[in-house]
Amino acid sequence: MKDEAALFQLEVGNQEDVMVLNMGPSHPAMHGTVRMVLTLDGETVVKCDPEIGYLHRGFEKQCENATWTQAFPYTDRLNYVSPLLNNFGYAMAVEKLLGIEITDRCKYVRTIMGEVSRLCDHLTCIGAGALELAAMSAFLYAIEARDLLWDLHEEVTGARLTVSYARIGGLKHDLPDEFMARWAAVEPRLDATLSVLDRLMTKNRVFMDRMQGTGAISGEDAINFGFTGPVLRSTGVAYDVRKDHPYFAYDRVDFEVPVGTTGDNYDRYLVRFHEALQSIRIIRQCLRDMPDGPVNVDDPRVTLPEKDSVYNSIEGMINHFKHIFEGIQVPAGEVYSFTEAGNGELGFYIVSNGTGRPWKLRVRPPCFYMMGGIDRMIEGSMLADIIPTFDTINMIGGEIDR
Amino acid sequence: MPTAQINGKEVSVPPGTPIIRAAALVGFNIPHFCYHPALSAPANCRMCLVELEGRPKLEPACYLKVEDGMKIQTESARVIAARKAVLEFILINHPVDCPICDQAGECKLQDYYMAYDAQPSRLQTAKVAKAKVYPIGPEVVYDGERCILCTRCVRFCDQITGTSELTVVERGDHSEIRTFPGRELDNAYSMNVTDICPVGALTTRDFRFKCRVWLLTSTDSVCTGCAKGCSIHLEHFQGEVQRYRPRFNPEVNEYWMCDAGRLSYRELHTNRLTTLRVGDDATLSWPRAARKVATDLKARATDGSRTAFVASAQASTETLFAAHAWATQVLGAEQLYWAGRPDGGSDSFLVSADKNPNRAGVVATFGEAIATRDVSQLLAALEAGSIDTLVFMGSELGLPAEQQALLVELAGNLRHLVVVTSHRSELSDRAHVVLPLATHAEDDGTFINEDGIVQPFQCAYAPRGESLPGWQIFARLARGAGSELTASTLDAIQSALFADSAAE
Repeated sequence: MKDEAALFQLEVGNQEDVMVLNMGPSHPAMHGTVRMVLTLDGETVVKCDPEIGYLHRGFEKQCENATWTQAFPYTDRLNYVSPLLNNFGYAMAVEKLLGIEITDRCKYVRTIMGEVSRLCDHLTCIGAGALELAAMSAFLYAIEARDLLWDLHEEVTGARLTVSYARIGGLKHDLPDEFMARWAAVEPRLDATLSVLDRLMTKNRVFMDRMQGTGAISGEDAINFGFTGPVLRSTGVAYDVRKDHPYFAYDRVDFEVPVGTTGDNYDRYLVRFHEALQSIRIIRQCLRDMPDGPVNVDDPRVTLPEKDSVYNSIEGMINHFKHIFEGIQVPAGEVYSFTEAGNGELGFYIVSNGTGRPWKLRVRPPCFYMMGGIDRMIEGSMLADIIPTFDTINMIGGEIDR
Repeated sequence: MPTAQINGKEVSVPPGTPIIRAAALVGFNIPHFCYHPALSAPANCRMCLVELEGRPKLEPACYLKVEDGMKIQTESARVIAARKAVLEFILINHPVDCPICDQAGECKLQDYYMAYDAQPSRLQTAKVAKAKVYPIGPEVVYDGERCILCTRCVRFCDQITGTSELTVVERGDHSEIRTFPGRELDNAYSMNVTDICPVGALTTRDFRFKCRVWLLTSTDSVCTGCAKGCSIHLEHFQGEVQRYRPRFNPEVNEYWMCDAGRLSYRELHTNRLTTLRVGDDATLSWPRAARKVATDLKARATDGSRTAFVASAQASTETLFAAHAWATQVLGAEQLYWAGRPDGGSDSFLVSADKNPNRAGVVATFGEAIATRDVSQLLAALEAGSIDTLVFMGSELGLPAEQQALLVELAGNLRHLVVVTSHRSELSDRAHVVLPLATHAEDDGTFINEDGIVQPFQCAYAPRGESLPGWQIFARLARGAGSELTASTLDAIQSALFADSAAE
């Protein structure tokens, strides 16, 4: 204890009135279990030392003992608010290593479901952020809208959160027949809810006072820290992987990349809000343009055979057996592949030694870098400003700690 | 030496080398079913077809010898197309058996399908039905539907055992492997055909439906069935040995092993003794027991000339080294004997008459003089009443029943009898002290075979129950007596044992 106190004195200087406060890991606003060791001078944060690792499961190591396909359920649990985006990001990385091109329909389905997942992510962030500033009703509206989308998830994947919907070279299965009708029912309710949220919050005096000018960061700092996603865009830097390095069907749809100006909490809220509207726009276009056809590549080395062929022909049986027991054989090599997840650039760096299991699988979780720079956004501000700032960077424990 | 080009790479090989071997030397694996390095090459599976410059047809790489100036392609489009076609033909009548087939997981047909075929079935007619569970021999079961007729088994019986039981009967897609009338596949090496069978057509009765092969962990070991010491893969699952498979060793057993040796793994788990017992007390821990046993021995074995030690020809050389050091320096035994299984049948191939894996190891550690001092000598000494204290290693007495009963009776009535063994025996039941010994599956060590070849075996799983590797037991006994053996770790023992061969 003595040493720790001495250390703080060294770092903070000879201020006699400072107080060291542990915020978290079990604090309702420190969701995802993270601890912030705060040094306070009155209510002003002099120093903020975030500590992560409370949700570490060894995702990267686990994947080395799983076949390429068995890693999908693990990816669900990275950013668990938008699991499909992780699914698709990982699938894309392995496909890049395999050098295969997924089918057109699969590209569209992945784009649609990815955007549905992104909507969930943004609605959660906006809703929970409002809740933590005591706006309970805004939270209820956002979560109601999110639940509509999770029902969609359930319809498509069979699960609300643990989706495991992607496969190497395609998907578990195509969208259900009634998906169009489902979306047609969800879309107006989503529009209405977003409109309610807009009216409740965007010009709300209390909300603006808490959000404007707090947790600000400059574009230059954000880039230096490795920020991506809505947090980076709120500073005015229009970097979006979907626009700058298009994948799936993003180069075939019209959408805008909303950017902010000041990089504060309010701008981050606005960016997320407008991105949600853009997501709806993307989904609408994809549903209009989506071609028919298979969702899985026609390659027996990558795609599981049909059950009928497994049970009735030796070819299908062997194929199935080899897939399940030895895994897809991915050629030796390494790859870095990245997609735009809810919080920014989700990267997978994978090394294969030519077997059915990853030799090394490393994830670049977008919010890891935001947590690296959060002290810069918090230090010097009031204690209460930590709440909206920590919320708008949207740290997700499953993703940051892996 | 003929020099050829394989996929653009130059390779020089001795005359008479088939292309398939030459290609392996420069890193190109050519798929094959019927080819086996120890057997003749009939070139009947057509899986190893390669393209030769200047020859209109594809040629089998297993049969064709490398000639000077040959230009060979093993990965060209024609070759790949041919492999695909061959596999499609082979699979036409192959049953959908993987879920119930013991070969699944180590099946060449599965490997090659994924590597070279990978297309759905185009078959529209019914598959030809054949015998499914045909008892082709006492140890081997044949499945005609799975068979791809590579004839490796037929050639094995012709060329390796010389017994020629097997042949191919019928023609075309009705062909099957059968024994000649009135015969069955019952030679001493019959189970080797299941190893060389590239698919699941030949399976051993012993391993059938016992364990899925992808669950097995394989450890390099040595067969303990006889003094030949065939190199084996000791394959185990959850601390239980499931099967032995021969491991290629050109010095000893090449690709083969005998059936008796293969089934000798069963002894590992039969009558296993894993409890430490001192008197009636089976609750002592090793350190306490070692102290008590050492104190008792010191008190009773005061006269070295009336103290005897029996070394086991089943133990590893390292254990015997420690045993010798302990018996002569700590125990002070002046009467040294060896015990093991009695001699049995032999042949001119792999089976040795000496059924002990390490008799040479006993001689190497205890000296030449012990070679003649076997259990019958021990019995004579017991009858003469010249032994008070006896420390006996192992569970094998190697005597006819009548003499064995006499020995057990006499030894059981001694002032002090200590038995160090991995398996229960009549002698261990009568002993005052029983120290459980690890088997060769539970210990690292070496055996010295009848030709003087030193072969290491690896520890597959931890010793069961309270048993310990023998060299540890003797080191503990020495420590219990307040002294220390000069070499009490495996490393130290091995460097003391093999210092000469390491220097070579």
